[in-house]
Amino acid sequence: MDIIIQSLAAVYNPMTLLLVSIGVLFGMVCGALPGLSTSMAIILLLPFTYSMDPVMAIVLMVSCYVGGSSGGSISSILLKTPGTPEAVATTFDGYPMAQKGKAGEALGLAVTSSSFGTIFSAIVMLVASPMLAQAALSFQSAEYFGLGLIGLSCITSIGAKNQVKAVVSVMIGLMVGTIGIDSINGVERFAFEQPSLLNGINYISVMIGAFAVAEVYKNIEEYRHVDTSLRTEQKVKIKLLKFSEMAKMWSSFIRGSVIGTIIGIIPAAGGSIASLIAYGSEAQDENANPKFGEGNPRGIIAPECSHNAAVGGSMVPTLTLGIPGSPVAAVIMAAFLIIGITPGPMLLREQPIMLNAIFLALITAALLLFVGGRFVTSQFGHILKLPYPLLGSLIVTLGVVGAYSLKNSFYDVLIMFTFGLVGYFFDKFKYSNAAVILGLILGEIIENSLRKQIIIGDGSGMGFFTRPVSVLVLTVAALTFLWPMMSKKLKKGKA
Amino acid sequence: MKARIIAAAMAATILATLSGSAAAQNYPKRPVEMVIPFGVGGASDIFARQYSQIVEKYLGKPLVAVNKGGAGTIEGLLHAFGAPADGYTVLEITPSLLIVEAQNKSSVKFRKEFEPIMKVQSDVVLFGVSAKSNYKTLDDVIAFAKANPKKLKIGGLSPGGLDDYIANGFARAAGIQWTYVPYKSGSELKAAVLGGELDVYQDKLISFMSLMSGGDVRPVVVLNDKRLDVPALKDVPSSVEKKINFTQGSWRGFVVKKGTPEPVKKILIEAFQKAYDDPAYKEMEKKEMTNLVPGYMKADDFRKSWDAEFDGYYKVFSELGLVKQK
Amino acid sequence: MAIEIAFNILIGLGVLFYLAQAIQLPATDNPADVLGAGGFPIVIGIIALIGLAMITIHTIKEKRKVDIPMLNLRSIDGRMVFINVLVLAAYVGLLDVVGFVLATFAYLVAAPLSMGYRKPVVLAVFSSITTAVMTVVFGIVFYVPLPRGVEFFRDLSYLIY
Repeated sequence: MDIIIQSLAAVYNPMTLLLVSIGVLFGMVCGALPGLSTSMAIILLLPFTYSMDPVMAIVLMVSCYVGGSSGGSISSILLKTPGTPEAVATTFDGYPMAQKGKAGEALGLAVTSSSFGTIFSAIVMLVASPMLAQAALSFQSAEYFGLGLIGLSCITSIGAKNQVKAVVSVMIGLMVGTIGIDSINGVERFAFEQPSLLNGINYISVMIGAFAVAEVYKNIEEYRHVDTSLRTEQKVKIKLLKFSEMAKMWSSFIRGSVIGTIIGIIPAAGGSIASLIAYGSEAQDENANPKFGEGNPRGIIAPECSHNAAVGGSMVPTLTLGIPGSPVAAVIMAAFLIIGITPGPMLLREQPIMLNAIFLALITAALLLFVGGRFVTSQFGHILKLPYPLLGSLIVTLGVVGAYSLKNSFYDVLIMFTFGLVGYFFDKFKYSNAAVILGLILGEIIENSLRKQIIIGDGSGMGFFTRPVSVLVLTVAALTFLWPMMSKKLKKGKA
Repeated sequence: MKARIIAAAMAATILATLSGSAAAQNYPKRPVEMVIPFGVGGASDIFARQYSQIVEKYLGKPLVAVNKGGAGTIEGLLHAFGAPADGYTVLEITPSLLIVEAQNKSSVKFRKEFEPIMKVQSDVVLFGVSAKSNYKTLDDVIAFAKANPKKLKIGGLSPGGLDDYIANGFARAAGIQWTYVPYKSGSELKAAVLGGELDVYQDKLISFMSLMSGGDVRPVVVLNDKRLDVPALKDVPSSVEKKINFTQGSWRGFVVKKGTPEPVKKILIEAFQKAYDDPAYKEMEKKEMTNLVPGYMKADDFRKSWDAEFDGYYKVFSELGLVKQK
Repeated sequence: MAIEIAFNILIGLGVLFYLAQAIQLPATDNPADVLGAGGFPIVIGIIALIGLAMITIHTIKEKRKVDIPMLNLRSIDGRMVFINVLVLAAYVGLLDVVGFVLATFAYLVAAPLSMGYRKPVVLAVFSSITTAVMTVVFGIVFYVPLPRGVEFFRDLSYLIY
């Protein structure tokens, strides 16, 4: 009991509340700007934490993480440019929804889901941390492989219109993903002596090209033929969804949050994978109205809940085992060490306040996001009022800066430009750009863990079938692949 | 048009002042770029950022961190090489840059094109096993590895990097063979050790301690010439004591491009030296536990140490077939 | 249809080239790494080829016409988008020559013009403000080392960020 009061006192004082607000806001801005990741936001805050009390420093960084995870969707929805890797899946339905004049609604929905996911995972973290962390250790190479396959199974829902083209697109994405130094034996693959290709091709720059730039090209062709007066007028309406409407979609909130929390807890798999898998599981429903990929609100809720639930989830192994649950959590853990705290089981025993403080910071940040963020972000919708020639040029410029700032590298800008053209033609011929991105993101996990498991098994792949968790994950993967086809068959049978 | 004239006029003034012989006298006039050839958030990134902040006090101008993490340090190297040799660009280096040169991966030869400022610190590497493992000591591990070549799995980050060198270099020195499995991130690696996928865990001291303090990992050897002066590690033998002559760890230092004017270099070296002596750095070093093995080296000694290390990398990596032939 | 088949063939050639490269990848020194560096690429390459063949057969049967303005320079839309691609290419090319500020400003003026935007005052205000905001936010607040350009432009950029 003492501990609870102590932690409450540590978090609920004006100074810490101010820090939470700063953290959330700063994270959101960094998240919303393409190319600036949440990790970068935390690194930039780091120097200010040297002189702070450790609890305060951590509260600041955790709130920044929450804000950053949520902020990425602003540009996903408005500009079709994901601000952070976590926001990739939000473009699939968020952007079409904004195009239908519901930008404000989409943004409000995104923020609400983000805060819901954060709170959900914070509670899980507080209640079940040590137990879950141990369970997370049953996730090894074989299971990562299955997880990657589950992620890929999204294509059956994303590419519903033309399955074969979607499959070819995924393969192209996987192929692009193999460029660079082979992560197992270090040989250079498809790099043609170019140092720029050695580290592989960054999917964010590909995505900015194939999504945002290609979309601008497409709009240049069309904008003069569309009645823009009506479109702009509609676009400006900032309407937030009513709670009763949201309550109807409660299952998406829960599903997204559960998936996000679980994937957050698994070491090293963070919000970007969590949101893709949550989207894939949501988009299995073919009778949805509007269809997924055409602005279905549930296509925003699930990934948004999921990547923010991964925030709390990823803190579980970070705090209890000293193993970061996501790339951003790894940065936070490095910051812990600088401040002089060693995460791990000892931390929870010696400084029980820390866990409670992080819990309270998560909850407070989420509430702040919910109350303030909902209204602030929906105002961003006004940007769509710009006449298209200006808006389009703005999107491209942001894309260029965004691609550049990923690694401060000019090559990423070239990649963006190239994939702008590739994406344009893929669109025209009904190949799926989303599937390319999916292959690119997941290819590495799939190939890497497949080969690692075979090496661990001394050349045999039996490990995939003798490990219980692996069998479970692979079965889920197989089912998600086959479900759309099976459900069609079933329906035909009935009819 | 007007703007262009003004811009041209302004630029002309700057050019005049910059190109003047006074370059060294009033150095530094603007912020200095600290090129970090790694991504954001790793140990080397955070070290460079923290150290820059201390140097700033003595240099009088800020050091701005620039992450150029592409292509396994090559992009950072190329960026620093592409900037003028005027002392406004400092490059952080670790063994990775020597390894890149040893593997013949970059067209810019690091040792030929850069000059040292100083080496600041060294990290020490430990090997351990999971607490649940059957191996209790280094002797158990080595005995098993001798009886079953290539059966033991040791993890690390990146293929052909420093971890690969340490794993294989140690095995060479100990006369054993094991399989090196590279992981994408430290978290995956640690989870693989605790989950039982890997037999041997290697990590630098500070990260090692975080797993060890929870009782999840049992240390078996310190890659050093003597035991470490840390209470929790006083019973852990050093590699040299075990007659395995291999003590590689990571280290961090700074360089500038060759051709930087001597007076400018002197100012830089002085500022970096003062930062090293600053209590703030000592504090930082203590927290990160990088003060246990001697790392500090003055520019001349630092330069000499490169060649010796380079030879070691070249030997091990050519045996592994990772040196690019041209 | 012809364009689409040409496109498929282009992709097919790309995949074949990829496969040819993959087969040449060196064998691994680790006998337990059964797939090696080339195994996975070969598998996905072959799946892609099979898929492409199916698509091409389908295209020939279907005979659907696809309209691609970018390749039809006789239409206004086509010219507009084509010029815009060139303007972007010029922007990207200039970034490392004249530096971020000038290149961005030039692009923000040229791109809307190429899309037929004709309000000089609004355009000037928009371009200056956007360039300024981006430079300040990315270059100064977030310490992104924006491209500085060469020689003269490099020195100029130190005045700003």
